[in-house]
Amino acid sequence: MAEVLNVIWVGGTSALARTYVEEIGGRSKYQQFRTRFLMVGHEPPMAVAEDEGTSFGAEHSSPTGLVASHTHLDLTSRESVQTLFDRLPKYSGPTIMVVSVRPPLVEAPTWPRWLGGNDERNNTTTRRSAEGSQSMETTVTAGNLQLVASLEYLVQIAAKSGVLGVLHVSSIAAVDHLRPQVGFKYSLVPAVCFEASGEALWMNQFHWIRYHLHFSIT
Amino acid sequence: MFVADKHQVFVSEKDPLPPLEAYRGPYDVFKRQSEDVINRACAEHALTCTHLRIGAIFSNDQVCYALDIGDAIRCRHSIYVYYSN
Repeated sequence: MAEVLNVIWVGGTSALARTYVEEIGGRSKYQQFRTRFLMVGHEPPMAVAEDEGTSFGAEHSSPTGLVASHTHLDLTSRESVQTLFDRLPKYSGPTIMVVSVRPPLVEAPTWPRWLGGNDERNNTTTRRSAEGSQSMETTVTAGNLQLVASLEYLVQIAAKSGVLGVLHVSSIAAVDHLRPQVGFKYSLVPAVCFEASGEALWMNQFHWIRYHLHFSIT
Repeated sequence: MFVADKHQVFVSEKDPLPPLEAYRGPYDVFKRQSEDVINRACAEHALTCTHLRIGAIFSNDQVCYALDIGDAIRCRHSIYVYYSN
């Protein structure tokens, strides 16, 4: 009988995770392994339709040997991170962890102040440093700093829980990957967009609008 | 030349990453810092670790986050392009 390889996918509610599981997950080239996906994120992916054959909402198995489940994780909560491995479905065998994280996948949404919410997590601070004759700025958000600290804690907890390795979906090819790929200019986006709901979400909106404008023109 | 103006393709893994200050977007800073802390935690606990730096992802998702090149492809073939994470 094939051995079970457990894949704990943090941020496993993303389109990337869904696509991987649907297209590749059940067809591992390593026939000696049967893969069990333990999807972890803030909430089950509502966009995943039951009739499309893959659901992360409840543990299930398929003829391809895929087993998927979803476990809640709020990376902004230390308790949530600390108890994650106690709350996961019981598993045994070799385990690796995929870390594929952006804020909307692993934290509760925050509302901006102008909508009556507390958006302290989206407050940005700018650090300046000089390199040669240029002064460079790095903008960080309080929420992102907290997520980074939580990630380190999560890996430490994972190591103590027997995880053998980490695959981090980083996506930064070199630096400022959004700008050369989509011609995105941070300076053209009002600061309120970054404060409203997290950068990634608003940038997605930006591209959605751009996409539909494109079609309406062509 | 400012490091952020480097070409984003065919960058060797042997090239050192730019300094943190070279990253302008909060999301890029977050990803870079994530690499650093994961490296540190994995080293402490002797875990193997790989950072996957993807330029674009073709996805089954119905939501389209367009790349410039994605716009051109999608117009002709009605596929979805996902990228972000």
